[in-house]
Amino acid sequence: MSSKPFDWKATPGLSTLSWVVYLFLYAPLLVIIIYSFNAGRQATLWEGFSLDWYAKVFHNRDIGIALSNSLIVAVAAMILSTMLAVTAALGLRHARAGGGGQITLGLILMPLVVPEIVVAVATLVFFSGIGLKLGLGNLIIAHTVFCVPFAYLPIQARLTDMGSAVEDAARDLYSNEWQVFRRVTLPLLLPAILSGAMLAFASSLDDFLISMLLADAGQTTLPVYIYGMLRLGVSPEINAVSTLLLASSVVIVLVALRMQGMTKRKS
Amino acid sequence: MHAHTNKSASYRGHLTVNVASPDQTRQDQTRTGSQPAAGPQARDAVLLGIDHVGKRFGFGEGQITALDDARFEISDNEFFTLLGPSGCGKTTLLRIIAGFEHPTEGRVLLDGRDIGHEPPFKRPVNTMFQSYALFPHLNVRKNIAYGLEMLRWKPADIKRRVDEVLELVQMPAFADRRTTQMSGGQQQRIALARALAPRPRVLLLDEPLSALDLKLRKAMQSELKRLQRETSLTFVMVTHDQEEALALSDRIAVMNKGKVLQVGTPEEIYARPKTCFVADFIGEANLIPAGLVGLADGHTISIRTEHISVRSRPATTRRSVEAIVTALTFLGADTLIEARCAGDVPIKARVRGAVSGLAVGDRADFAWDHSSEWLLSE
Repeated sequence: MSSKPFDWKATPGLSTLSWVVYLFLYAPLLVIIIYSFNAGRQATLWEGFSLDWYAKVFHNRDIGIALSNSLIVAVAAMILSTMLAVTAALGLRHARAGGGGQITLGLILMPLVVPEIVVAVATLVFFSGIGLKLGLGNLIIAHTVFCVPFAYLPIQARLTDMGSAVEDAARDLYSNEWQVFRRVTLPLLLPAILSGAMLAFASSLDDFLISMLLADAGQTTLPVYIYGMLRLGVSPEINAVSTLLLASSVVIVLVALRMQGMTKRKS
Repeated sequence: MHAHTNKSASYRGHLTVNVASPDQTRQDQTRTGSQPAAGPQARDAVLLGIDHVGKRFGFGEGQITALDDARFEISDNEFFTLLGPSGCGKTTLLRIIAGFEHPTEGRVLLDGRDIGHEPPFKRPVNTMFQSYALFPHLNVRKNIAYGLEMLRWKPADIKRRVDEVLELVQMPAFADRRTTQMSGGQQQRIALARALAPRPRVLLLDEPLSALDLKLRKAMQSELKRLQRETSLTFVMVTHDQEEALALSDRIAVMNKGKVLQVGTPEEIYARPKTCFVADFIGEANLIPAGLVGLADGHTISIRTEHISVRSRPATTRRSVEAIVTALTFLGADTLIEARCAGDVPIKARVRGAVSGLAVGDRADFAWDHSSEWLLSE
């Protein structure tokens, strides 16, 4: 027995422990989902199944406005950040270590590591400092900045995977640079671009901190609105909104992953 | 037959072509000693001229010379090979001919016109890539048609030509298949068809057989030779495999460390290498200081391992050296005898069949005919 190499999979109680951890992580989400279908007012007392709270959510004008704000910002930030990410990934493809390209790459990925509250405060101070008042535009700019790395990473991974031989082949077969991009690079990159765009969309939709600090009256996004509702007490309506938000995020991320899988299989 | 017609056609208008007589050629082959390699053999007109081409990367201290003053000419309808170890500059030269790199010195002449600084899409030169580089989002037919579409061929002509080249590479049933579902050997044939389809002036092959297993490689070798004959195109191949180069090429350029060391037919390069490197790189050769066998000091002679016989008693009529056997390796058809002679110079002999009456540590006489030794000029 003692001569056997250590195998962590053989640790006693591993599967039990795993289930406890999963429960700890996901039980709260489960509770929210279950209680969004509760018939009663009490947030913690099950009184039977109903879709009343969903109906209430759909008839709440304020939630509608917050949702449309969220969608406008998320779609705009998705489009802008994906465009930036594609150009950056193509431009930085052959960046050498230690060169200017490497520094640019670091700057692009910075929002992933800089604490969000710092970015939020800095952006707020900066915008009011230069007197930028574009309404939702302010939010869109801020969201675009932190969405770029999410869109960038899958595109860059795909470019690395792809190599430059296929593009060389297109050049060799009488295509100029534009034709190479149009007929080879872009079609091969498309699944990664869509997947990057989805991730950017999802991270914009979920963002709370930056939106909270930057949004003026009338520009409340859905997460900020939910936070506002919470201060008036936990109502099952919140459960319903949260469940809807969760469901849409999961769908988007699943679609994004599916697209990445498609890229993998294709290459 | 096809190839022959093309050959005579390309003589037209080139009255200065040097055509060696068969007698001259035979004379060249039997000649021994340190004479320079034979002059140009019967050859078609020059198609591609590599004129003092050099390629340097970087600047100042960190500059790397990938290619240094390469010069040779490739004829119409020739199977030409750039042979050398990795990092010798052969791939750089191929990429310069394709247009992916531009030379820092010299000219690349195609039909007498300098194309050295033209982008790849303006050159009537196609490449078969080492990784095949098929377009994964297009099926076989679309892959092959790609170049033709870019050249704005008519759809009907494209269809006919695609069918024609698929026939040529013996894959007519694969037109509508996805390239991602095919084996390495099949992908390679499609890559070849794609490069052949636009009828380029020169077809470049980058290590075409290196990704295939041994059996497939042998089959593909004769396939490449057949294709070159049938299409009567000029093939320029890059390889590090000397056997492959000897088997396929009309002429070979041996390269090392960015320099072209020798250009010649496989026979010339095998029998009359110019430098120690060439002698050593092509086949198995013994490099022995000339002083050891009573020739001029400071020179080196090369003798192929298969031309040496091993005896226990000195042979008076032949050239010989005495050596102590260090290893005997039975290789099936042959036995390789390794030994060390005076001055610790290694010597190897490859003899037919198994060897009896000889053991490691024995003294033996390694002998060869005068005619099989070759005095290296460098």
